[in-house]
Amino acid sequence: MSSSVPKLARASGRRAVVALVALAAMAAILAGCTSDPSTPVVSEIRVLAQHSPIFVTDGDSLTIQADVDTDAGNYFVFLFVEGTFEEVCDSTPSCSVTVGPLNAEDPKTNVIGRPIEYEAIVLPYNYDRCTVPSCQASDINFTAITGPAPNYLYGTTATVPELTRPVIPILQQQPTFDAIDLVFHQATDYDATSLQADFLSDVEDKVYDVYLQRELIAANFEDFNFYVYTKPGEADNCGVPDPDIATDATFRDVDAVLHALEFRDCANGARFSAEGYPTKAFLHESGHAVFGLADEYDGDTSYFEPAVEPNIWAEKADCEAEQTNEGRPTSACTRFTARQGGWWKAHANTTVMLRGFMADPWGFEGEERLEWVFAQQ
Amino acid sequence: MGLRAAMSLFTSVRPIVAALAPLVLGSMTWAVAGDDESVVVHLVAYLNTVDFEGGEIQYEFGFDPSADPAVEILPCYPTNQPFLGAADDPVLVAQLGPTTIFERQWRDPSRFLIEPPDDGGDEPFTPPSQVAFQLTLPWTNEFDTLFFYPDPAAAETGSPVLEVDLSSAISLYLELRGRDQTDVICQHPETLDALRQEVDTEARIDEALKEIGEVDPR
Repeated sequence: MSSSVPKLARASGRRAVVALVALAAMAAILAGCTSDPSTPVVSEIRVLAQHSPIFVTDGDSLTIQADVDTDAGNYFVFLFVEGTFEEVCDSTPSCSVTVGPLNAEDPKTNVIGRPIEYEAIVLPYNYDRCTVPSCQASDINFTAITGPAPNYLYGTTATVPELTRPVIPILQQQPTFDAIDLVFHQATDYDATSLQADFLSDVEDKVYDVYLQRELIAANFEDFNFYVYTKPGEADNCGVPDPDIATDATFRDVDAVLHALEFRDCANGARFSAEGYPTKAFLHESGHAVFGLADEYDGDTSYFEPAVEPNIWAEKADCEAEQTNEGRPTSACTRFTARQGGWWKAHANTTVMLRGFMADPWGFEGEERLEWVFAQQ
Repeated sequence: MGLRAAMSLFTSVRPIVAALAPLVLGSMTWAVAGDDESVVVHLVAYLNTVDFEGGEIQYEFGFDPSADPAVEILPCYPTNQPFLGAADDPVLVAQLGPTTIFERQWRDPSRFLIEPPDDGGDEPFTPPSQVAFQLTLPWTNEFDTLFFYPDPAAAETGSPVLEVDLSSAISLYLELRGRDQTDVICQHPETLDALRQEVDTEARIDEALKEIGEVDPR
């Protein structure tokens, strides 16, 4: 799990205070004071903030929700939107607030379309001891509010209209250096050249109803940033973004081209195509383009052995060695395809990389690969 | 390799190239290079069909030797895509003169990973005969030539399939004031990161506690 630079900076800024609190606690213990057994030790505080709609336009109201995971029995949840204190919740694991309707135009600069920052803060109270740095947790996210449909202007001024930003951050949870930056592209088969409401709804589904519903991804959800690119791409050949993306978003790690028609999708490098509506494609192709996993089915694809934490092997001996290292039976290694010299895997299950429906597991090897990828962020 | 790992690699070679850097920097006085800039190489790989055992079709890639790939250097954050390829994937070597600045593998652009077929059968996927793609790398102003090798063995023998000279792109970048350019669209993430750095969580906690009439329990 990554730790953002700002969070580390905040933690170190509290060191002196924490040290004083620790000294005071030690002094109290030495003086013979005993702790109130009803007050807990706080050892874990996590908060995940998200917003809806995921793509915000002029006149929309915005709902911020914070989900808290902590062993603190009593705690405050504070919600700030654009620097304004909007809500406090007392010891509830889910806290939300709705603000708006919002105006996309900044009254000070007349810029249409701007980033929106929100923060959820969890602060335990009535505790005996806290082992979490600064005894708090915070989740700072950015989204954007754009001008109205159909142009969805973002960062546009009347004086410099050419500076309209075509890459719109819909959920930025970390600096790009610390995250997997995934850009969504609308394919031209949505029957329009401008962004469509159907596409934007599909994007929200992929983020919240696919990724966030998969346990292993959800546990590392803050390692993702999501963006929408306003220039349409092509759905063919694994999704081909508008070539301007190369210089508009050098920071991106993955391109996902969503399309309206149904056909067989694929991944090529760090880009992939998938139906906008629910099919097996988005999760399966994410396995390739985001996580670097190979196919586990017998068919007309390109097999390869990932260099780190592979999920398939070219040699039986390498599969068996991995099984032995992990304390699993070598008998699980089976030659699942005779194509391209024959390839081996260590299970007989229907996994994401064999199919890709939401109920399909990653499998042992797939999970290890995901964990490795998240560990790189 | 993640960006931070890549940066470690760059850091390790900095002493080697430090003396050479002025040759590239010339007499420029403004900021021209840092760890958060990008070089974008626009490439077209031609996918040649070859028969594989069992009568299947496998694809292998190559570059048009007469092609002159477009190269841009931008004052923008690069990708931090971790290494996600295979052990025998193509190799990229960045050099300043004879000095190797870094070497890394990248995902084979000829590899098309196809969605599993549905019951009842889908249309078979036909990979294209060529694929255009862009390679984005961290730019440190410490290399001026990129060599592309089809696999690690070719890199060992020094047999590149493509050589890309960055000198023109470097000159143009310097003419445009390098890192000091402020009207580049791709700098938008830098703007967000600056806003993120400005957030003062402790001040917000103080404000919220004051608002609800509580004292800081910590």
